[in-house]
Amino acid sequence: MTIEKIEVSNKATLPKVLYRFDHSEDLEDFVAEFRQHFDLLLCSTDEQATAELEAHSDQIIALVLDQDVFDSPLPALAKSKRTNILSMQLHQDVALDSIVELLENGFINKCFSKPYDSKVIRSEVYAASLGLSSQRLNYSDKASQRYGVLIVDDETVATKFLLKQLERLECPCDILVAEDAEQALEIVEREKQNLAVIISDQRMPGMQGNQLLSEIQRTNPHIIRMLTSAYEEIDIALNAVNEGRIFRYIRKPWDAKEINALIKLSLFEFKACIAQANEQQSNLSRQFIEVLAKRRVALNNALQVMIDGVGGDGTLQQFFVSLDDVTVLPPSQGSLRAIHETSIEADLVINFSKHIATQLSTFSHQSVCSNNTGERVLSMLSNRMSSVESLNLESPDSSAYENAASLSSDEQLAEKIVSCLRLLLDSSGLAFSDLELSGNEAEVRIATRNGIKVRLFRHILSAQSQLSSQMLLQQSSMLLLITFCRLIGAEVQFRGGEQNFALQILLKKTRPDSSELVR
Amino acid sequence: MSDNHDSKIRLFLTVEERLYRDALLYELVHQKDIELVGESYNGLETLNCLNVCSPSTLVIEEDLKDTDGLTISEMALAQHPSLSIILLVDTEISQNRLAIYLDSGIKSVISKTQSIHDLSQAVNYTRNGQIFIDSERFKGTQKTVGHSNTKNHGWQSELFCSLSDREKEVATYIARHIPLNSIAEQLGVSQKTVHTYKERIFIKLGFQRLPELVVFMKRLDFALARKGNCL
Repeated sequence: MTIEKIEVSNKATLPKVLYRFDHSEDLEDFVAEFRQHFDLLLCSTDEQATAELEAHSDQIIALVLDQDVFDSPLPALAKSKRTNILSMQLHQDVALDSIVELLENGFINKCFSKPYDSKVIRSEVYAASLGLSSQRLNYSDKASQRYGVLIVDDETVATKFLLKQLERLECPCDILVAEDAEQALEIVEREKQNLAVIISDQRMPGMQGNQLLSEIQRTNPHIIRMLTSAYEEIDIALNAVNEGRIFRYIRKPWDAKEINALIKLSLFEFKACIAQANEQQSNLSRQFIEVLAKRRVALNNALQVMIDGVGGDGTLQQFFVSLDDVTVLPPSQGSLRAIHETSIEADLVINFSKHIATQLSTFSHQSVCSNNTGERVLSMLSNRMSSVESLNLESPDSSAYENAASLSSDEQLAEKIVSCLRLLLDSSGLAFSDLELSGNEAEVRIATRNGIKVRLFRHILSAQSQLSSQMLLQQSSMLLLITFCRLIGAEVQFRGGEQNFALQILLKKTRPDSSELVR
Repeated sequence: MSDNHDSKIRLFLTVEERLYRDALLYELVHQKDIELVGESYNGLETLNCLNVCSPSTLVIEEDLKDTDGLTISEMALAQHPSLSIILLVDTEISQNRLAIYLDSGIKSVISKTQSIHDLSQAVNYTRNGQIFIDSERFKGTQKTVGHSNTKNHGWQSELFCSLSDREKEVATYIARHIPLNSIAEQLGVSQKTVHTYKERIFIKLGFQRLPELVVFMKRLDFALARKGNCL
């Protein structure tokens, strides 16, 4: 009993795939197709395969069964060795019975009829080897909650009959019905927090059952999906398994007792999925609380002296507090992976600090100390704003600072503040015309117009999936705006919203006669 | 791959540079089951348009001026979870980076070093929300960086060799823009026969349009010339 192995140059980096075959011609085809892409373990008997699973269970990414039978014990064994192993069945003539059986056993993830699409198989194995996380759910499971099951079928008489039978059988769910996919989608949208199961007929006017289930799998993956049909539609059933990830395929005519039992089973599955997803979500949130707290400390250590040295004590803290006020994109599995597998945390702090240091190095603030500097700067700023508008400059440029040495401190400050504002506005596709200048004898105010918001999807204290230069630029503009404005005695307020904020710069006047600022 | 081919792919394309965007569109809209529902050169406009255009697939460049494509994608998915998103990246990426993108909800990643066919393929394979990883992407940085014509030469010649001698001859004529009736005359066969050769050539090479064949033949010529120069 020998186990054939394939030699390829960079085998160590390829995903390990256990291939169990019955026919040598199948073996030849498979090896020719995948030897360059997978590290193949080839087994012609269950004993060989079992031995390989025992020996390499932690390394085997996928089990591929290229056999005439559908009742192999290997997928169950593989799952017991490695829960996230991908099990695929290849078959010459898949029968509907086999698909029904395969779903009932629940160990095979994908089933492909021959000739198979090798690109899909490669992609599935690659995805499995990357250990991608399941989709994040925003779902709260209440222990006492009674869930709903939605039955979609255009044969209303049959549905009504089933409904009555299920009620008689004391079905554990509330039963909702829809006559077509469009109506079903409306109900799902309305009831998604209460819906646990959807059973859809395949053949309906308009959108077909498999398309409906595929759509629901993408929008509400937690809802357990079952497809039902009176016809032998193998390809559709296979696609529903492979793409729509259905829980069961039910043949018509319906047996109310069978459906009732399946609903109970689905409900159990649903609750298990929700519990798992919620645990994953709370684990994610917990990890991020720690990561972000550490990042805040690291940023504080890197920036506090530099920033507070210019803007005064508490400047950096003010920036952090402003950010806390904005609701941004929540952490994703992608951002968690970035933390574990890349140097994003260190890079974020280093790059941001460098950016700020560079910006501050071109500016001298030593002479900014007189009482009316703020008003002078705001006056220059308003002039600069109107000149920027009339020139219709499209992007921020540094040319204004190239001759910074020839500018007075006040002018430099005005230029810096204009630059920060322009970058912030640009990042949201806004212009200076989206700001308004107002004031009275006591104060001057520059603010985003009513209803205008600066967009902020991620910030320096939120979860990131990658280091984005656009985000760094926007964040440094916010921080520097606060810093420079504090230097002239003006207060910057970012009033946070959902992925956005309204901006306001407020300067209390020192002398009542300076109202000429507002023209 | 799917039985849903009756429903068209509703494509939205976000690419900053007009020339690049046009080039991609000319290829993608050539496919019958792709319907262009919108385009944009920046991220924020893309987000604003999604509600109105309701695309099923978004192809978006990573390096946009206003906000990076990944963040825009994550925002788009928060509002439209059924959207299939393909991210266009500038350079080859590592497996780690690929996994980060896919974990963030992206369905496929295509780099600018890949061919237009790879993008078409990704658009088709992700149409029902499936993840699609091609072998080049998976190998990531271990594999060719730059993907120059010289490196393509191997498989191009191999592909060309899969044609019969007559098909090679016809392919050469067609690539020189010689009309089918002239080719028929030259080869002493009927125009219908030449048409059959043409169809077979396109099927074997996986092409849909004349420009693909013209460029393919030219690149073969260039590669052969370079090989000659090296010797």
